[in-house]
Amino acid sequence: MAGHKIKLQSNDGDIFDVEVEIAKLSITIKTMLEDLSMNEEEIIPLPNINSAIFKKVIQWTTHHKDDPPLPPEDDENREKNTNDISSWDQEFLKVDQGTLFELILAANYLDIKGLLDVTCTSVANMIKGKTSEEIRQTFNIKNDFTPQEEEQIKKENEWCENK
Amino acid sequence: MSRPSLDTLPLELLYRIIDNIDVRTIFLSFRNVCKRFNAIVDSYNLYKLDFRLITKPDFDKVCRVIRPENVISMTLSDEDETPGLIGLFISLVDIRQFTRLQSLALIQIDDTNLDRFVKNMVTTSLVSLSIDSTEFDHRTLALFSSATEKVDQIFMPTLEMNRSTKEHKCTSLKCFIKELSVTDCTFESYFDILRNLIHLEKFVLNNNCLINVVQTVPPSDLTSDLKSLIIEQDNMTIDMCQSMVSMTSSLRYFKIKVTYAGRSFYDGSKWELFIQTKLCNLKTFEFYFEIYLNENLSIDDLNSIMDSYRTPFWIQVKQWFVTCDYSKTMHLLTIYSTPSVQSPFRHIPESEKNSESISITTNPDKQAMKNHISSLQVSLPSSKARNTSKKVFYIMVS
Repeated sequence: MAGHKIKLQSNDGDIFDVEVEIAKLSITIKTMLEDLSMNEEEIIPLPNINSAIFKKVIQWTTHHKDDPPLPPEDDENREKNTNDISSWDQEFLKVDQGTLFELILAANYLDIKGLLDVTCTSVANMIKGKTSEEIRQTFNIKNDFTPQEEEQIKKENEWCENK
Repeated sequence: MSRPSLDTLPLELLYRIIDNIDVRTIFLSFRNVCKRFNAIVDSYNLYKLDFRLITKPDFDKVCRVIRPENVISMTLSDEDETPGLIGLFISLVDIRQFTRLQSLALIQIDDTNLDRFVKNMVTTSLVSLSIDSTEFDHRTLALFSSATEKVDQIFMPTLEMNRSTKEHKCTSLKCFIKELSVTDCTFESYFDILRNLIHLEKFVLNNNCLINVVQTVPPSDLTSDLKSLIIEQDNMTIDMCQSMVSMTSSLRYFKIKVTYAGRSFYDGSKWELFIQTKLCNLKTFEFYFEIYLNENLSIDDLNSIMDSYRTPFWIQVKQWFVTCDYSKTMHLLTIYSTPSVQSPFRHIPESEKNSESISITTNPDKQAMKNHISSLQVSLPSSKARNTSKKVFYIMVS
């Protein structure tokens, strides 16, 4: 029923009144509502999501509530997502890296495929075309290869040039 | 609690990110960032690799670090952007190690490389094969033969087979080919193809491709969903032709051009009976028959022949109109549907038509007869040509 709301609680205690139709974009919440027959007064806890991230998730799902449903997927038929990110999503994803990865984790936990796709694509776009060192710098990753392993990698990359 | 970062994301999410990165970045950059990413890239086993936009040096490097058993989909192309890529691939990797390949696309592959794939490819897991090439021959078929037993889908816009296929039996070809064009085929192969290519919609037998033209009884168990059939052939009897087509009752378009046709080809009543009983769905029947006769035909003989094309079936029901031209000097009877499908259309000026040639048509609209002409051949006697030097001719070709 349109306008009907449920209560969702983030892991830092905030309670959100969310329209059922919007909340059901999360397969996790949809399953809870349908399989566990939770009544409308019950508060559904979301132990893996803080209120800041959940606000972002609600913002995204509210904007995309009328999108056509995405086809179901499994590991075997997971198609490459388009690299195009809508201008609204691009604007939405102008966040710091920590928030971006928290959004990915939240989308994964809540099972919101559209949000997971767009956040993962956004990260992929940050990686594409970069050298190893540029990726390390962008994401603050430590190079933990031993000198021997470094040498091996160097060999692999120079092999053809020396043929 | 520390905030998540790229290198602390769970494995399945990193896999999902990898799915969206290009081949070069995955194997030449991302893989070399840290130990964890190196292990992840090497262990991920659902790679769908598209090599259409990669430089040769990068391709060379990728081929050296890739684990073939982790690849489930691959696109290789010899197009202008990546010429010679398929040959390089074959020289760098062992095709037999791609044991989990489900989908393979080979674009602009040449015969030699196709042959190598045929001989070495493991097809047990393959479900989709796409080959885009204009040089198909028996090797393509051999690939099909070996590949198709477990392949559910083969996407191939057009498969061309040339003369070297004549010994080939297509008995194991079960795939999704929609259009097939052959330049060499036996009757036996023709029925084999119809039996095995169950999704075939358009079948073209061109350039006099049927060899060993002897009548064969069509297999009684054969059913085909063929929609369109085009045959161009010399030396054929109507019985042979009809036995070929008798199993394709779903046919909607049938075009046949026969030179040195058996004389019974001109009998409209035979065609009428055949189409009514065997080709109930036929919407378009285009034909061109050249029949050399031993005897002279009179105008009454020709009218008698044409009467078989003036029945309600031809004129009202199907609205298929027919013209016959007869050359007394050559004893050549030409019968064709109008508008003519013969190309180039041989135009005989009225002044050239004399008592030695006769033309009769069932088509009430003479102009419509030539509506489909795309190529025109006109012979003008030199004396007449001189007299037309100041005239302007307008020819509209649709």
